[in-house]
Amino acid sequence: MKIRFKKIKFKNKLNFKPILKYLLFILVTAIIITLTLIALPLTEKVSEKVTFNLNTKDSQYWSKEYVAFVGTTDKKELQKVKEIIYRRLRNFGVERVAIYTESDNDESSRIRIIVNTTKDPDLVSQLATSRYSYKIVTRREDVDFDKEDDPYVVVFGTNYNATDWDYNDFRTVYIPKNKFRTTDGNYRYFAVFKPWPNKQAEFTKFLKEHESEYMGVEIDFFVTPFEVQEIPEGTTAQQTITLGVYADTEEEAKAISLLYNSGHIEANFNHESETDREPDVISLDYIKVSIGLVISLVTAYIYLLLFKHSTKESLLRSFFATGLTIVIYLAYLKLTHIPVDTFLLAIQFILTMIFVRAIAENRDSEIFLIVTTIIVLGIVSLLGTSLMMIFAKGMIALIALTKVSLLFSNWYIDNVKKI
Amino acid sequence: MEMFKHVINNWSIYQIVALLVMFFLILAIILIAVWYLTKSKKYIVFTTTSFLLSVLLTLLAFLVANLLFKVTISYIYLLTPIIVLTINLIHIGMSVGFYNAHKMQKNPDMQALRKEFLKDSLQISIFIVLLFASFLIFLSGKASTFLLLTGIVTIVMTWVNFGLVKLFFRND
Repeated sequence: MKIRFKKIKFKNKLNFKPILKYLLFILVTAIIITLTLIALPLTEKVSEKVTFNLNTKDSQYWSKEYVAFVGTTDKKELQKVKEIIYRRLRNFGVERVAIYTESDNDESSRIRIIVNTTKDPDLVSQLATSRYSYKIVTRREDVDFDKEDDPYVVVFGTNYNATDWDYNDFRTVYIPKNKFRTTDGNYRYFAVFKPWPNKQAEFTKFLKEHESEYMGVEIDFFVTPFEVQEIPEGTTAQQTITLGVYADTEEEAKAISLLYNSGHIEANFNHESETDREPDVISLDYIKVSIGLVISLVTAYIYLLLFKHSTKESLLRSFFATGLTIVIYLAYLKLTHIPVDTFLLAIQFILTMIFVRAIAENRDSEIFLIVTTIIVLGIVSLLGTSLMMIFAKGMIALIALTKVSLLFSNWYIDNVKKI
Repeated sequence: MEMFKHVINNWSIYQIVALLVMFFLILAIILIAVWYLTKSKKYIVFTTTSFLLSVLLTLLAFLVANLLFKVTISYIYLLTPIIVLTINLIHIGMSVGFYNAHKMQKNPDMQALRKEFLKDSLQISIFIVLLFASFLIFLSGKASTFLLLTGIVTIVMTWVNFGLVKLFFRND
């Protein structure tokens, strides 16, 4: 018996596009589910290999009161000292600073600085209590700097003569973010002292007079020595002083930069005492708060649906977009272990929920709302106090994410309907 | 009044100036954005009145809380004006698009704008009441006082805005 096989001919060519689309859709859904699981509270209990804990700042807060002696009772001088210390601490990111001045007698005052922060205590102490008044000094001729039995001779200010150059003559002390290689092969941060343009010529002349000499920068009685480099004849390059900085980390370098550049305390300024205080923290059980917020969000949407304040379509899209925004943000925070204030985070999420509803309901206002809100929060993050800055930065990230989430939600829901 | 004395005596000039500049810049940006979209003097006057009233209402709330209820206005209350400002911006922004879409009509219907504003005011109020309430349950002490005060100011401001719309936007 002859067996014949019938030839199967496809009328149409096989279309891979829908198959690929379904695969993409499945992948995207899997990613959303994964992110949701990561974002959920108590995920950290699931795996021991990877930590999914939300890194809260609550336990990292500490508080101290620093008392410093100020050798003046002049209100303007005292105000200036307050400004400088506030600027240093604010720009360093200290969350809460309170500064009080008290006059002791006719000649001196006390300044009390209370900080409440998660920043490095040593660096904060330095910023709050150092005068950091610097000047250029030259070596005294009657001092033997090569003494082997006294290695500290180079650091004491009493072994140097003052020059006419001090903090008034330099417009900035620039510390680059990256370390540079030293002559002995190590990497180190350097500070570049840049004089005012009208003093540049005079400064170059001063450096030429002391070419190849060892000089120093005296900061609060201690000297950091440096060697003046040879200046080639006829050079037009701006001459500066480059000094090695005693900083290992970027944060330490930032603190030193702030000490140099936040202004100069003219009056006598000495650290007297410091006292530990109970940190003023608003901590909350974020698991319970998460559950509470989810329940109220769902209730709000059900209310809007039942009383027909909006269409089912619009509510579904904005609900999905809200969930996606919060899930992505939380997952990002958990995976990167960025420390957060749980109280601020909860308020940010509440505002985000209202924002997403607003832009989903009023598509005509979407661009206006997103652009204007980001600009407004940008201004708050630049000019506000530390707490406002932290709040605004988080909100900017969330608002940018809402736009992406809304676009994605529209695409996702449309594709689900087609399946 | 102790609150204002504390600010004058203990805040640095940099802090006070930076915050004042911040608020003026924010108001300027919002007015420029509203003018760019609506080209309506009425809308500019409405927006300016709304934001100035929100500042006044916030300060009044602080004074009432401090004097009548002996609440210490601490550092956390610096967030209240930012939250009130953000929600106020969202509220006004929601109507800007609607106004823009309908302004080219021969006789723009202000009744429709007021209806839209009422709808938006209701939605915002519902969200604030439910979300803030769910958060308040888990707080105590100064955190709960802060949230309660902020929530009340925000809701009152939402309905003040609705009142301003009824005042400024009428059919000719």
